[in-house]
Formats: sequence, C-alpha cells, structure tokens
Amino acid sequence: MGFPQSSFISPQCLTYLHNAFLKPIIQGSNVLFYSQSTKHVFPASNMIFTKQVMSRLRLNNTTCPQTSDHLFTNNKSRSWFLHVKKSFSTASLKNAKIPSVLVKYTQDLNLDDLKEQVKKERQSTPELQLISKIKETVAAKCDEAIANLNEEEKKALKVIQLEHDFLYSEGYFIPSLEEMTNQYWLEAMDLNSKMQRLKYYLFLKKRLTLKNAEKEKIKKERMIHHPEGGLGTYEHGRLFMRIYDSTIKKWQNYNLASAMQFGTPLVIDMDYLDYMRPQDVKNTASQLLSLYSLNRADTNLPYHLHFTNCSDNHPLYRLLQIEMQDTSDFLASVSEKSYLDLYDKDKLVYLSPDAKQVMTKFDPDAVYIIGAFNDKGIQKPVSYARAKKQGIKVMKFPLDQYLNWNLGTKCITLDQVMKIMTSLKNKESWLDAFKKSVPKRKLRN
Amino acid sequence: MFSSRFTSALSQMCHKNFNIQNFFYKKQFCKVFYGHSNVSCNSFISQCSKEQLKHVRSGKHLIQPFTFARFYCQQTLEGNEPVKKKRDIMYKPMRKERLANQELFRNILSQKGENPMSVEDWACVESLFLSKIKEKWEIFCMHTLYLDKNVKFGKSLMSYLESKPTTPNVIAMTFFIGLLGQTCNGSDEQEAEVKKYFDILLSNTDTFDAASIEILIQGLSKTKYYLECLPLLETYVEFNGLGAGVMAALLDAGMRYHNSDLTNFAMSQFEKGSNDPTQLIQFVSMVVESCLAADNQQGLEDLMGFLRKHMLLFPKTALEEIHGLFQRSQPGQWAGQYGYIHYKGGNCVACGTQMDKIELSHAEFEKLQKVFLDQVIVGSNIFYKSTPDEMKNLIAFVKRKGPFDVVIDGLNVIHRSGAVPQDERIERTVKYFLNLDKRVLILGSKVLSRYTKNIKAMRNLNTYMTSSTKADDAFMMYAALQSGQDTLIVSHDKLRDHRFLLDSDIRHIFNKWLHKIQIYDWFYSRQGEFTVRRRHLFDLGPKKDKGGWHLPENDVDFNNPHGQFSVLCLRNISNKGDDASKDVLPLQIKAVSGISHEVDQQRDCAETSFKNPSTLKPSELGKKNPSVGHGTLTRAPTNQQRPAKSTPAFTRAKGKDTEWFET
Repeated sequence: MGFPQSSFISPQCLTYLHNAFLKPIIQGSNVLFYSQSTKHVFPASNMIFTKQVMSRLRLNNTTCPQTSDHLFTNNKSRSWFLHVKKSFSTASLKNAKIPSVLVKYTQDLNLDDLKEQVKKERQSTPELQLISKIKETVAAKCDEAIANLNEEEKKALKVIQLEHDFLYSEGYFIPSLEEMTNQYWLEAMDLNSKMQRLKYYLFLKKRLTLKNAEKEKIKKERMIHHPEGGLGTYEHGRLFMRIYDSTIKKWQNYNLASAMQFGTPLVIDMDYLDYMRPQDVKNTASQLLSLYSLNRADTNLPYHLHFTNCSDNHPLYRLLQIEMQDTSDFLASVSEKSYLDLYDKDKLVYLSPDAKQVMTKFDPDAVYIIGAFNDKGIQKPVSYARAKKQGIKVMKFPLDQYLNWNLGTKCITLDQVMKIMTSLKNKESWLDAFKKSVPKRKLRN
Repeated sequence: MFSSRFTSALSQMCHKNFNIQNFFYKKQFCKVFYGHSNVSCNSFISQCSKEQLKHVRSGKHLIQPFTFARFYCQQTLEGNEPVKKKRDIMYKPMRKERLANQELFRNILSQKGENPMSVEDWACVESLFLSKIKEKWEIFCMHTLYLDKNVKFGKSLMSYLESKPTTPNVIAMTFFIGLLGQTCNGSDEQEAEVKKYFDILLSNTDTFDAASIEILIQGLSKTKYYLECLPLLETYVEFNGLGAGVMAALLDAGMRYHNSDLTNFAMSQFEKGSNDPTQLIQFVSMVVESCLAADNQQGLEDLMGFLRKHMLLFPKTALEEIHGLFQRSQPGQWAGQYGYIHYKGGNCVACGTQMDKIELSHAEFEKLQKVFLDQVIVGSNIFYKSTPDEMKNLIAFVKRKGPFDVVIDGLNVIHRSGAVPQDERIERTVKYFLNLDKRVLILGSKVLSRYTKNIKAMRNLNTYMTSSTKADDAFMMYAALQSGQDTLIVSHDKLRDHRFLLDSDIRHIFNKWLHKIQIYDWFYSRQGEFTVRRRHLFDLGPKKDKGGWHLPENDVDFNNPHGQFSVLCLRNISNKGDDASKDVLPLQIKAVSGISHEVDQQRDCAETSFKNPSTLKPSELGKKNPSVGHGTLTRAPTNQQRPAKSTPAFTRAKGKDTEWFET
C-alpha cells in the first residue's frame, strides 16, 4: 500500500483496472482502491476514472432504495438517497428537563430554511458555513433572552457575574470577562452551586485553549505542506484526475444506502436524556457523530443504524444534525418507536457494561442495541436495568478476558464500541477488535 | 541476611564506576535480591550519587517496586529533595502567569523582610504589576497576602489603598476582611477593624456572591461580630446551598461565643440534604480548639454527643491535635494514652472505665425496618439490583420460613481471606449455629448452590439464592430485619454502599443496628470449628466520664476493616484526691508494665502497684511512662500483640436474646 500520493499508474495497468473488480479500502481519510486481478493498490485521489468506477458500482446494485415511511424519498433529480426532512414541529419536548442552552434555542430552529439562506449568502461570502450561521442565531437568541430577564433573574445574573469576577481574581484558569458570552452566562445560571459553576468555567477555558491550539496547528501544517498555499499542487492536463472529497462521500453514502437495504441493523437507543447532565449530552452527540462516520467508513457493508426512541426534536438528534453541518444526507433510520416495536424480542441483544452474560461470539442474526448514554454523572446500571425490565438479553464484551487493563476506568466510548462492532462484523478476532479500538493508555504494556 | 556479601559486591561495583542506572534497568537488582527484603543496603546507598538515588527512589526500574521500597526505607531520606506533596482533591488549575507573578510578589516581600513597606514601595509594586497582569493589581496582591496569611503587609497595603482618592476595590476588601479575621486570635483591635471594614464594604455594595460570602464568613466567624454572617447566608443558600466549610465556620463561632442555638443549627445541617456527618470530622480539631479556648463545656459535650450519635471516628492526626489542645488549655492536668476498649468487658484497657453497651430502641428499629425495603432494595429503580418478581418471592419466603435467628452471607463466608473458595467453610459455619439450636438462613447468589449440596437437607436450615450478586447483601439484611431485632448476620462486608442509599436521618440507626448484630470476625480452629473471635458491642465514645474523655480512633486499615476499637484515653490528673484519679494514675503505671488484659486482673495489679509505688523507681517511671505529668503519649498494648486465644464459651446459648451470643 506504499503508493505515494502523486504516483502514476501505467496506461496498460489502467486497462486492466478498468475490467477488474475494484475493492475500495479506506484508511483514515484516504480512500485506496485495490484491484484483485492485478494486485495493485492505488490511492483514490489519483484515480482517473472515478466516474466509471462509480457507474460500475451503480450497475451492480440496480435496484433503487424504495420509499419507506421514514427513510427515503425517491428523488431522481438529486442524489437518490436523501433523508426525509419532516417539517420540524414545535411540539414540546418529551422531557421537561432541557439539557442545555444550545439545545433549548435550537429546538424550534428550521434547519432547512437556514441552509437555503446559507446557500444564498454563499454567493457573496463563499466560506460561510452552516454551523457558524446556527451559532449566530443561537447567540442572537441568547442576547434576546438576557435582555428579557425579569427582575429576579437579573439579580441572579448579577450575582453570578460578581462571582465569576471573584473567581477570576482568585487566579483560576477560567475565561476572562471578555471571553464570556451570553450563552455561557445562561448556562452558568442553570447550575446550582459555586463549585459546579467553577468547574463549568474551567471546562470552558480548557475548550477555548484547545480550540485555539488546534487552529494554530492546522495553520502550521498548511505552511509546511503547501508552501504555495492551498491545494495548488494538482495541475490540469495530467493523466490522472483527482477524486474529490465529495466523490468519496458520495461513494460512502452509496455504501450506507445499500446497508440500509441489506445490512445488519444496529440499534442506537436514544432514550437516556433523563439520566445525563448537559455536558454529557454534548459529549454523547459528538460520540454519536464519530460513531456514524466510522460506520460510514466501513468498506464492507456497514451497519444499518437505527436511532430509536428519537423524536424529531430530540435534543441529542438536534445536536447531531447541527454537528453534521453541511452534510444533507443522514443515512440512518430514525424513528420515535421503541426497538421493541420494530424488531423481534428474541433477536434483540442489549450491550451493557453491567451485564452478567459475556458475549462469546458475534451473532449476525441478532439485533444489537447500543445505548446513547454517557454515565459519568450517575454511575448506575441504567441500561442493564432497562433491558432486564423489558426482558431482553443483556450482554457485555469480553474485555476482561482478552485485555490486561491498567488502573483506571474500564469504560469505553460509543465510537470505540462501534469500532469493535465493525471489526466483529468483518469477522476479526476479539483480540484484534479490542486492540484496534481500546485506547492504549488504558492497557498495560 | 547476607548483607556483608551483598554490600561488598555493591561497593565493588560502585568503585568501578559501575553504571547503576543500567544495572537497575536490567532488573538484575530485583532478580538477585528478590525476597530478601531485610537486606541492609545502607552502605551501598551511601555510595550512590544524588542523581542516582533519585532514580532509585522512584522505583520505576523494578518489577515489584514494593520489594525494593521495603528495604530501601531503612535509609532515611533527609537532606535530599522534599517529598512530593500529594495533590489536593480540591485543587483546580490556576493561570500560569498568575502563579509566576505570585512568586515574584512573594520574593519582593521577603526581600523587605522585617521592614515595613513604605508608600513608595507600594507605588513601585503597583507600577510593576500594572503592566504585568490583566486583572487589578490590588486584588492580586491582597489575594496573595490572604493566601500567605500575611497580616502585616496586608494592613500596610490597605492603608496605601485608602490613601488614594478612589475607594478600595470591593474584592480586595473582601480578602482583607478574610485575612484580618483569620489572624485576629481574639485581639479586640483587629476585631474592631474587621467590623469597620465590613461596614465600609456594606456601604459600598449590597449584593454579594457565593464565593466572596465564603471568604467573608471565614473572616467574620472568627470575631465577636460573627452574627453579621447570618444575613449573608440567605444569598449563599440560594446560590450554593449550605456547604460543610461554612457550616463548620459557624459551628466554630457558636462554640467560641457560647451560642447554643447556632451550634445546634450548624450541627443539624450536617445531617441534612447532601451533607453527611462524616464531613464534620475534618473540622473537628478546629471546633474543639475554640470550645476549649472559650471554656464551653456544654458545647463540647454537644459536639461529642453528635459525633457519638453518628459513630464517627477521629483520624490519628486529629486526636494528636486534640490531645495537644487539652494540654495547652489546662497545662499539667491532662494525660493522654492510646488504648482500646476491650471487647469482652467493655472496659478501657488504659483506665478501666466501663463503657456502655450500644442500645437500639424498638422505635428506631421499626423505623429502619419500615424504610429499608423501599430505600435500599427498590431505590430509584428496582431493576438496578433485582426484579419485582424476585422481590415478591423474597418477601413471601421470609414470611413463610421466618423468623430466623442467624442470616449468613454465604458467598462472603466462602470467599473470605483467600482467593480459592472453600466450600467446607459454609458447612462448618452452619453446623455451628445449628448445634446451638438456631434457625439459620443462608443467602447468596446462584453460584453458591454448588457449595451447599451437602447441607441442604438439614433441619432448621433454609437457603435462598438470588439471580445475581447485586442483590444478595440487601436481601440478607432484609431477611434479618424482618426476623427481629436480635437476628444476627454473619458477613465480613462493611455494607457501606447500602448505608448511603438510606436517607441521612436513618443512617445512624442503620450503623447502630449493624454494630449490634453483625458477626464479622471469625476463624476456624484447628479442629475446623467455626469460632467467633471478637464481637464488640460497646460504645466507643466520644464519651465523657468522671475522669475525662474517651475519643475513638479511626484505625480502620486493610487488615482490620472493622477497626480495632482504639481510643485516646484522656485523663484529668489535676485533682488527685478524687475518685477519678484513683483510676487514672495507677492504671497508667500498669499499662506500661503491660502484663494482663483482663480487667479484674488489671484492677488487682493496679492496686498493688498503687499501694506499693516504691516497686517502680521514680526515674524509671519518668522513663517508661513519660505521659504522667509531661503529657506525652504512650501506647497501651494493642490488640495485635495479643494472642487470639479467646475461645468463647457458649453454654449460655438459650433464649431468644442477643445475650446468648455474648462472650
């Protein structure tokens, strides 16, 4: 696989490739194509005949995804896999507890309208992104909320601002007054004690510094790799055409779409909002995002992700949509129903770390359920209790049997669970699956 | 011991410029001397350079750092770099430039030394820090002084700030009040100053935040104007809730100024809401100090009563501090000695005072019985531990088969002290209780049924197996509670997790109940018979009696998870004519000789030595027992040194009373 990025393939080879069965391999962000007949590997970014490949792939699966009530529209003019956008109703949340300010103010936001707006505005400012637009609207709403506080709340805000000033002057590593936005103030007002607020400020500062450091790092890298600036190294008139990210995405989406027809289902249970703190909800959303993209990057047939107990304005789902930014295609089933209504009860297997039964082998017929849950706040066997209540099988990974754990927690994140599940589906051994996914710092030697 | 060979080999290596680091990294050291933990390597260590020692001390190179650490500790570490401080749990990250500036400011002050800071000096400091830091310089300086408790420079800084046309900053003033209050030590002038600045602060602002209220209360509560805190509490509760630190400060103030309403309020807050009485322990020496300073006997008794109610144990450091405090408040009147309460008679081995038995009233027991099922087993979600069916099953089972006299935690009995489960243990344990004609219940998870095949058919024996290990402890306690007040449970577990599921006002009842009915210390004799070693039914205090105080020590460690009933026995030796002193002095002499533990023998021995003090030479007395008169500590023989030969006689095993089991 040691092909350098700018390598070329001989014309003879190309003719071979044209007829060969091409197997794509994805390594991180790079897509490689592997030809089984010629045993050649070449990077997708150098492929000349993307179009042919894509058309080939399309020919293999001639059936178009059929319209189903909550998945697709058969829209011929645009890409043929589009998640149905239901009009976002302003119905009240199932849970009275609203997790965070960001969620609160994006509840009744019409994402479609915003996207249209962004499209229009891009003509004048090409680098505008949806996320910044969303942030703007949220900030505007926060400003409005701050302005409309009643007397008591105003007093509370003043006290909290005084406290922040005091904590800052005590020398804690927290954002200064200029760095505090109205959104942060609103979130701080929801917290109950001084220590909680202090921890929140510390978290904000840490995040800010991390973000800045990342930005600078990217800047530096750009300076090193592309001294002329940007991606100007690809010139026209060469033999090979560059495959753009959008093409790769399209191909991946195609994969996902076929998984939604023929793939193994994997249920993500979203009904954990009551048990999570605001920060956990945010973390879960970002973990779900990487879970989704990991699944998408699976070169074999990925899982058919099924988000259950998830209404349209479910805060987690909302955050997920926001973090997905400009990608219009969310290729997963989303339903308000419970997994109990959707699948046979005997087939369901809940994956929970508190389970007694250890999963010995991967059962391709079973429907595995992962809870979209971060239990940093309450360390209680919530998912285990739920599965037992519903009378479903509960299992855990044999993490203890295969790994030598270091001191510390044995919990793994949702995207790591996804990695393990993908490896299992691709018939890898337990040990390989765990070694790939569990971070090394948690293991001994 | 092959120390001579070892050291000579090592010294040779050192002479030949042997690379020690290499040596250790190759783990030869460990290989060669593995298991010889008592090897003396002082001479080797004396030849190592500082750098090398540093490397050795970290122990990274070793396969088993403990082995090395154990024999390394023969060499004292003085003169080398300071031992790394453990990071505080409450530590929160600070801004780096802030810490650097604080160092700079401290350096400036230390250069000044004893000389006062003049106006020019402060102006200099101001101009220096104005350019360096973003926040206001006076707050920064005052905060640093507050952290260092440097009241001298604090005052001069404040006078400098006052000389300026603008009024001093509110936050700086808050820190100044905190600083003044915490260093006032009862001087009236400074207290008046605190009041003065607090009034200025009140005139400047009317809203306070939770963080500054904390500092203000820390300051004000140390002065006679402590009642000024109370109006601040309203805002504080709204924005933070009553924390342990503020409550302890108020308790302290109440003790100092004999305000029993305030102390009762503060103590009751420790039982409420999210607070737990154990939080009080870290402040206890501070509160005792103010009690003694103000001679508040009633307050001290209230405090100790509260601690006794919740069975709180004092950490060793706190006990040492309290002992010192007693001696400082009344020099020459108090003698302290570490001893323990004997489990048989309930006497203090140091002075012989009889302690009361722990009593659990019927009303209390019923209260616990009522809420246990709801709060511990069901909790917020019954599926965390069990299922509704299983619970119903258990309730029906206990109704049908109960009441029981003994409930055994089967898994605990099998697995205790040893990795390999030994199934004959459960058989022996059960047989022992059945021989006493008791109705026995074994509780455990399904795994246990493997071990109980042989004994299943016995009369008076019932077994109940839960589906998982999550519920068996709770089920065991439920069965015991439903059977009656005198039903015993056999388990080595401390059952703390269940305690914290209960409401905070019931936890102390639960503690008492467990203390009364749990058998946790047993062994199997050579013939294989189940034998109870110790069962402590007596109150450990803190308790006041005629001769002084008994303060329980927290001696719970890995080997003794249930503690060794150690106490600090504080004796008042001022009035020798009284009855109290009769117990005090002679027994101390006895405790030094350390012959016997039986109380009767103790008395005899004590009397003889008291009658005939000439048997001990005065010089010897001073040498052996410096606690008399001088007030330093001696330790009475501990439980560990005692041979565990106390085989109890169970002939009295009749009737349905806990007494049948006492030894």
